[in-house]
Amino acid sequence: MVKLNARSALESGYVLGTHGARLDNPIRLWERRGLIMHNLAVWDTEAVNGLLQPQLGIRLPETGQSTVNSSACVLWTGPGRYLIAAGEPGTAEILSAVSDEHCALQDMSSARTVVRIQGDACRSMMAKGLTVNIAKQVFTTGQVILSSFDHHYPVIIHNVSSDIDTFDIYITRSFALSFWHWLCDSSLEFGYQVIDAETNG
Amino acid sequence: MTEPTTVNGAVRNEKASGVNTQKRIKFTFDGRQYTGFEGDTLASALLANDVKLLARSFKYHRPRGVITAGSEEPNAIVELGEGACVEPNTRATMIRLSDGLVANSQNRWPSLKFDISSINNLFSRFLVAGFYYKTFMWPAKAWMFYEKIIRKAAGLGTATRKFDPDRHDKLNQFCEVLVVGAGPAGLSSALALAAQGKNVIIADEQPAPGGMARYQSHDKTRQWIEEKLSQLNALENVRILLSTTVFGAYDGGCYGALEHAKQENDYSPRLRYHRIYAEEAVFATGALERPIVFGNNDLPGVMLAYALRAYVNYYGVIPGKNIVIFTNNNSVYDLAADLLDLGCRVTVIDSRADSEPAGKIRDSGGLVYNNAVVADAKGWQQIEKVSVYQKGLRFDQDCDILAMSGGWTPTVHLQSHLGSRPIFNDELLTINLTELKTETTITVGSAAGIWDHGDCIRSGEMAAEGETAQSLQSNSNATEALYYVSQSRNKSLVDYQNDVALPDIWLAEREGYRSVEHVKRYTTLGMATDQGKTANLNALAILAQARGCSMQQVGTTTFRPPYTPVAMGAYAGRSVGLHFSPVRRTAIHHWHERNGAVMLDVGQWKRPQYYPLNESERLRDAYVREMTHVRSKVGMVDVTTLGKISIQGTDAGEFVNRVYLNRFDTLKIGKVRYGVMLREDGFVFDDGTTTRIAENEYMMTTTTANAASVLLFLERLNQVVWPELKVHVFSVTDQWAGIALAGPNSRKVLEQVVDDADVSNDALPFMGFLETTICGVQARIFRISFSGEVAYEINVPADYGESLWAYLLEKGSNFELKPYGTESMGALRIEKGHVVGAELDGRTTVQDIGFGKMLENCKKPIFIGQYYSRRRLFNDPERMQLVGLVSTDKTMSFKNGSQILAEPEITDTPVDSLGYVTSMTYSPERDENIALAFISGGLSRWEDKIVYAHFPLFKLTVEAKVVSPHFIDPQGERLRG
Repeated sequence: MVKLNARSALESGYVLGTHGARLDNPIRLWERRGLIMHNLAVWDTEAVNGLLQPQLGIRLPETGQSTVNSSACVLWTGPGRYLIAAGEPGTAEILSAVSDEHCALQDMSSARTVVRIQGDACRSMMAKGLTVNIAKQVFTTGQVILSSFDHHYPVIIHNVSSDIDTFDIYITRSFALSFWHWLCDSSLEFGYQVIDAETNG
Repeated sequence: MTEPTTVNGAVRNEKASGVNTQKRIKFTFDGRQYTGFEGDTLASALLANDVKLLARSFKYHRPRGVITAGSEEPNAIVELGEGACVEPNTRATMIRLSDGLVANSQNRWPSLKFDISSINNLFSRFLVAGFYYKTFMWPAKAWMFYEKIIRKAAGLGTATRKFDPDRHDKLNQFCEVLVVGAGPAGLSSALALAAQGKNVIIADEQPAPGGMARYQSHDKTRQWIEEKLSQLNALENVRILLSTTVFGAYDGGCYGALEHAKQENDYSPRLRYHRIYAEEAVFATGALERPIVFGNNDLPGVMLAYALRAYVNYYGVIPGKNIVIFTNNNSVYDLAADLLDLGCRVTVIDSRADSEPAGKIRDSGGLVYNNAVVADAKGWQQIEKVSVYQKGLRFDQDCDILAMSGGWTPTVHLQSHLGSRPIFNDELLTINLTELKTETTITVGSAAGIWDHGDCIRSGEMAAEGETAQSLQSNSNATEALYYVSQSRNKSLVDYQNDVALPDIWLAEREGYRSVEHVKRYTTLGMATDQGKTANLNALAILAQARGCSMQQVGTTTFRPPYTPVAMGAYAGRSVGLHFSPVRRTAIHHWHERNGAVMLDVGQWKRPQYYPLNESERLRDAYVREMTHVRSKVGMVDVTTLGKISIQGTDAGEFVNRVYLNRFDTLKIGKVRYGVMLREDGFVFDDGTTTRIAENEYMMTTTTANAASVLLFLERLNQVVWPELKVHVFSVTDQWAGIALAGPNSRKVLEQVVDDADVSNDALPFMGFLETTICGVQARIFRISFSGEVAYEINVPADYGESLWAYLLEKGSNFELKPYGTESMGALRIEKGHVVGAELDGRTTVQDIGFGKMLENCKKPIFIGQYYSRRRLFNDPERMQLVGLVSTDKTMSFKNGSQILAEPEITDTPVDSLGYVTSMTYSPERDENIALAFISGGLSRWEDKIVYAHFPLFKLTVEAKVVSPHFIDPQGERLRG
């Protein structure tokens, strides 16, 4: 059978290597490809937790937070709304088992592009376009922000780690390339390095 | 005595703290190269090079020099940079010297020293306020001609039309307290707040902290500033923004600030626009020294006393040896002492009968005249002497610099932005805020009318405790109410930048402009880049005297943002070029680009409009070719941009049922239905197809334009109107790439690509739905048709969109599958008579678009628009209804928006329009120019009759026959085939 190739929205703009100012600690950027993503909208949180916990070993996060384990990452995206991102194939089947009595589930694996950024200058770079306070003492590990960059790009930002500042940015696919250009341009003064995309699934 | 040193031919005060005399910097002004030092401003460096003439004035082209040492500079306005980087109207006092800096004087021709337009000055007594408006009113039509000449003769610099190659950027900052101003009050406040653990940002427009205090010669003061700065630098909860002007205060604790950023690398922005969000703010914005209005008070060499002190003590520039200081207050006497210490000859002209510090100056060898005023400055292009008036006598006093001080005006612009209105205080003899504290702001230091260095520090500390320092306010400089000198014989400028002189204000008052706001607009006082910072208070005093009322009665004008000019580039930031507006791309975008598609902007989306065969093929030929191919063979078009909304939940059927006019709860799984959505007011909102994917899951499609609006509409209904329904809606527009296959061969192509699925007419009939796989990839196939041909819309996860497109082309080559663009897609639907946004423009009802039966048959208990859609007027047969038009002349095509009249000619007599054209195309199948239109009375009245579509803008009239809007296959046999 002929195989259809999955193509990243960033493909034409993904230029590996170091760019911009030559500084010691450039921002590192890479795409996290192949993540299985689902939007989850819940009517009964406890019932869904009761189903999720045994299957994925994970609970729904509190407002503005995330829960993460080795199999999945659940981001709070609004009252009763969550984004579940998983690298493991088979997660979709597990999630589908969640009864639609208690929640609605929607595959969004192609709808979002995920970019991970890492480095000391990440917050300064993001502050160019984000009208939300992302200071280290305010936006801490595990927290999630829903906002827009530069008033245009709708994003979900997950603080993966504040030890070495690491953030996952979930951007709507159709905006992804345009946003990637913005991200790279905003990183120029700090220097940035595009590394090989991470492959999941 | 401190001995000045000679450096590069310029005499410099070796105790200057603001410049690094070890580092020379070369720069050019008006084509001539000079040298300055690191830390110099353009103004200080030029003064050090004995250049006192820097500019020409706005209207009279009078010679102008440096008058201040700060951002309020009204005179030394120059053009910075060259070529594409040129920035007009920059203040020489705020330009930091950098190697290779190029600056030029502006508003002069042929040269700064010899400016032909300075002839205006000779006629200045005639060129008073309102001159142009009074003189050039006749004939009124000629004003447009005069205006160009007037604007050319009088004006500031000229902006470049070239693309700005500099980078400018934006930054959002958050803090608990924003301290504006890093003078003694600001520094002490920031430290006290930081000690409380507050997250503080302290911003100052100057590149070094200290405010006016850094211009003092006392080592103790300088040490205090350095000590506080190093304490602040050591704190993690304090951010210091220097060279950053907080130019505007807005609602919700939002402040705009402009930073002249350090060029740390090739990618550093030159200007950085900060949006600072602060819970509270401390305004330590200091005060501005006022000039005194006297004859020729704008001659180069006349400057404010604080400015001279700044140049002497901070920049080390001693621009003269024979200095006259004209004052009405005590604040200049430290300057006099500093100058005497440097060996200058100093004469103080003090308007007051007595001045306590005068004795010390006399003891040190200076001259002090009390009860005296400077009536006029004299000299050719720079000051040479002053005419002093004392007790009825006039005498001349030689000088090379005249420093003046008319007292101090608190800088309360930011407070004014937030709604506070300063009033004149008779005791302080300056404007002052009635309330130093609001819910979120507090004003300290000189901005609060506090002048003593120690008191300023104390007020800053008190602010950290939430206390105001009203008790520390005083007229400690013993300022006397002197605003202008009545004995002057020469032009006395009130507003330097706009050349507004004393008689202009008197004239305005005589002509009835009594309100300060009217005087401002009539005379242009307080306008332009300096916003009258040095002029406003003097003008108020002059107006009050002319009106014979108090300063309080005159009131003040309103300060509005920005405090100082902000380059448009800073507001734009990086939103230029590629980043001007974000682009939405479909998953197949790059294929379209690679294959020569002409792309069309549809909102933020880029869509392929058509695929020209070669460079010479034009739009009309291309779309006619493409649509002919679709009708005869098969074509495919990228429809990813159509809105796609997933509706899930056990009440999904009921929800969709209520949203649409027609029924959806009865829709079978695997079936598609066309739906019309109304607004609450009964008009049509949007249309599209909705598919029942599963028992509790529907997928709705919307027009591209309405995708976001419909989603918001559904979310509102779900969350607010019917929260009891168990439903969730998700936008899945980005999840699926959409490709429409259309044409007689479309099924044959589809059969080639699906994995083991039966797509025959029986298995997948018109309005059927199939969930299957293509090459193992999940695929949704909808048997729907926009073109009127047998057609399928294939959705696959967007990641596979481009691969599927290429695969379809490969497999469809045997059936002559070709891509077509949005232009032919639109033309095909016009032939078919489908409505889109052009017809559903918010003014049309279901009856108007021919779906009246749908409403008549609707028996549902609840649906959006159920009441208003049945308004009697909506059934008025006179309403404009959808019809088709066919041009009777095959060579004549319609224009969208044409007005339809019954008459072929447009006369001067107004007539009612019968309707208008919404969509037009050439129909290759009918070989006719056709259009969709709304016409009063619709088809029942006009069928087969002749009307005229007028497009007056192009003087175009098309004779047309009214026909059914379904130009092809009205029975729908093709799309069911």
